[in-house]
Amino acid sequence: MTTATTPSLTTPDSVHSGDAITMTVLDSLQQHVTLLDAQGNIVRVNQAWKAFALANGGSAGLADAVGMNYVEHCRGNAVQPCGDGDAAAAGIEAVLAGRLPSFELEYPCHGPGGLRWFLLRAVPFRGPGGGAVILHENITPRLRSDAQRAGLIDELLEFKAALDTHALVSITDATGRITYVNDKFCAVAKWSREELIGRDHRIINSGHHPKPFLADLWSTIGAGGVWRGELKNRAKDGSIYWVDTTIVPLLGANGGPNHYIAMRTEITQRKLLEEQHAQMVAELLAANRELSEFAYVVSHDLKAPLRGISSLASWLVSDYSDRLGEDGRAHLNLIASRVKRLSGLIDAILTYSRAGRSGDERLPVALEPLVRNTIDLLAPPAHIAITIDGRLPDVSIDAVKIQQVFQNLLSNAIDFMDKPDGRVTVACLHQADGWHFSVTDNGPGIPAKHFERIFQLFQTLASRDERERTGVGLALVKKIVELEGGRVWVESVLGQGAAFHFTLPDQAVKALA
Amino acid sequence: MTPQQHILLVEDDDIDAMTVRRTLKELGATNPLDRAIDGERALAFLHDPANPRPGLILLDLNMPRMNGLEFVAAIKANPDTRSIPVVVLTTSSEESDRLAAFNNSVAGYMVKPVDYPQFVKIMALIRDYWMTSVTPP
Repeated sequence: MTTATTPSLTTPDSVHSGDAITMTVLDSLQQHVTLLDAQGNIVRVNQAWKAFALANGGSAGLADAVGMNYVEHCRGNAVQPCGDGDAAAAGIEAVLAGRLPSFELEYPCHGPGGLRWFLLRAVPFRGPGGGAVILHENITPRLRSDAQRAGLIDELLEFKAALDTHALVSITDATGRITYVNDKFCAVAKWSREELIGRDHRIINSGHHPKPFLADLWSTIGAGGVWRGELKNRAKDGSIYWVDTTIVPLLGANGGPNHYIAMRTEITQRKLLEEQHAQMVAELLAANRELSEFAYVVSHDLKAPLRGISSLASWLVSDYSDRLGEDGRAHLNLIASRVKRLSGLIDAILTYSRAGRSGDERLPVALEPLVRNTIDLLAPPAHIAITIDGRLPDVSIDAVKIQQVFQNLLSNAIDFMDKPDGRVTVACLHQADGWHFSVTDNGPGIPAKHFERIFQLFQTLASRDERERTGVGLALVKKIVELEGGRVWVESVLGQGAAFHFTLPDQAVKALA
Repeated sequence: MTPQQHILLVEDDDIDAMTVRRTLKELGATNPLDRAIDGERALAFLHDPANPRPGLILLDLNMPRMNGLEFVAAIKANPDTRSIPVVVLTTSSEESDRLAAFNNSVAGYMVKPVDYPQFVKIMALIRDYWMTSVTPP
C-alpha cells in the first residue's frame, strides 16, 4: 500500500469544498476509515466507521470519537473481543513514529453479524502535522472465496497429478509451438523439457501417417473441434511409440483456438501386438489360399494323366483281350480299379479343400427339406429306415456344405449297416448357444480308441480293398462344422450302433466367436 | 452339322486327343477331326483361309500358352468365328471355370470322366446332339 492510493483528507486550494469532496469520497467507501493525528488521537472518521461502531453496540463510544486516542483505545482490551489490541496499538504507533511505512493486521471479530475477519491497515498521513490513516476492511467474503479457490486448486492439482500419472500431456500455442510438456511426455519421447519447449510436434513425427491424415487433424482442431486418434511417434533415440491421442482446442476471445491441450495414452504394446496379429493373419490367409490353390492344381493336374492311364488300360483290354490271357486281363482290371480309387481320392481332396474357401453364400437354409432330399438321393436299401425325429430348423449356412455334412453322416450309417432291420435317426435340439444335431444308427458301432482317428483326413478303419472309402468324409464333416464354429463328436457302443453329434452356434454366438 | 463338316479339337494331351479320336470312330462319326495343341495354334488354324472351317469346336481349358477360356473369348470377339459352336471338354469342375465359359457363350460344358466307357457315353450325346442340330453354315 502506498500513499498515492490513500484518500487525501485535505486539499490545498479550498479547504471547505475540498473537505466536502474528501468526506463524500470517504463516506462512500465500505472500509471503516479514521484519521489520527501524530499522537494517535482521532481527528476524523467516515460514515462506514460510525455505522460499524454503532452496530457493534459495545463500542458505541467510538461512533463519534474525535479526540479519543485510538492507540490507547486499542491497547489493553478495548478492542476485544476483536483480536489482538496490543499488536494493533504497537503497529499503529510504529507507523505514527515513521518506523514502519505501513502496517497491516488481519484479525477476527465476533460482532452481531457473527465471526468476521477484518484487515487493519495503517499508513502514514503525509499531510501537515503528520498522523496516520487507519482502515478496517471486512475481508470475510474474500477469505471465503480464497478458501473455496484453494479447495478448487487442491482438487485440480489432484486431477493433474492423476492425469500426469496416466497421460502424456502437452500444450501448444495457436501456431503449434510447444509451450508445456509434462514429465511423462519427456520420459516417453526421450526429449528433455528444454529441448521440446518452443518446438512444434514435427520433432516427434515418425513420418508414418500420410499427409491427408495429419491435414485432417489440423483442420479439425483449427476449426475448434476435438480430434481423437492413434498416432505413431518417434522418440529422440529413433524408437517408435504409439499414443492414443485427444487434442482439445481452447478458444480465445476471437472465437478461434489460441492454444491446444493434447493428452495421450501410450499404446505401443497394444499396437505392436496388433501389428503382429495382422501380420500373422495375413500370413495365415496367404498360406491357406496357397494351400487351396495347391490342392486344386494338384487335383486337376493329377487327374489328366490318370484319365490317360484309364483309357489306355481300357483299350488294352478291348483291343488285345485275346493276347492278354486271364492274368493280363485281371491285372489291367486292377489298374482300372486303382485308377478309379485315385480319382475318387482326388475328388475328395478337391471337395475337402473347397470346404475351407471363403466367400460362400450364407443364406437361410430349411434343413427339413434339405435332409429329406439328401435321404432320397442316397436311396437307402429297403431294410434301412431313416427317420427324422421332430422338426429340423432353418439355419443360416452355406447349403452345399450342410448338405455334405448330412450326406456323409447318413451315407456312412447306410454303408456300414450290419443289421437286418437298420434304423437311422436324425434329431436336433435347440440349446442355449445354438443347435445340436445327431445322426444315430444301430450299426456295428466304433471302438472308443478310434473316436479321434475317424475324423482325420485319409483315415479309414477297413482296408480300401475290403471297403472302398476315401477317408475324407468325416474329415470334411469336421472341417465344415468347425469352420461354422461348431463341434463334432461320436458316441458308440460296439455292436449296438453309433451316434454322431454336431453343433451349429446361433448367428449371434457366431458373430462373437 | 453335316457328316462332312470338320470338328476342331483343341487339346494339349495326346492321350486325351487319342481318346476323342477313338471315341468318334467307335461312334461311327465320319467328320474329319483337326487338332490344335493350344489356343494360339487353334486361332492360327481358324484364321488361315486354307483350312476348313469347323462345324464344332471341342475345347480343353487347361492348356499351355493360351488356355481354353482365353481362346473362346478371342473367337467370340471375332465376327468371323463367333458363330462356331464351342463345347468345353475339361477336367475342371470349378464353378469359376464353368461361369467364365458360359459367360463366353459356350454351347456346352462337359467334365471328362476318368472312366473311358463313361467318356464314350458323353461323346455319343455330344455327337447325337450336334448331328441333329442345324448349325450355322
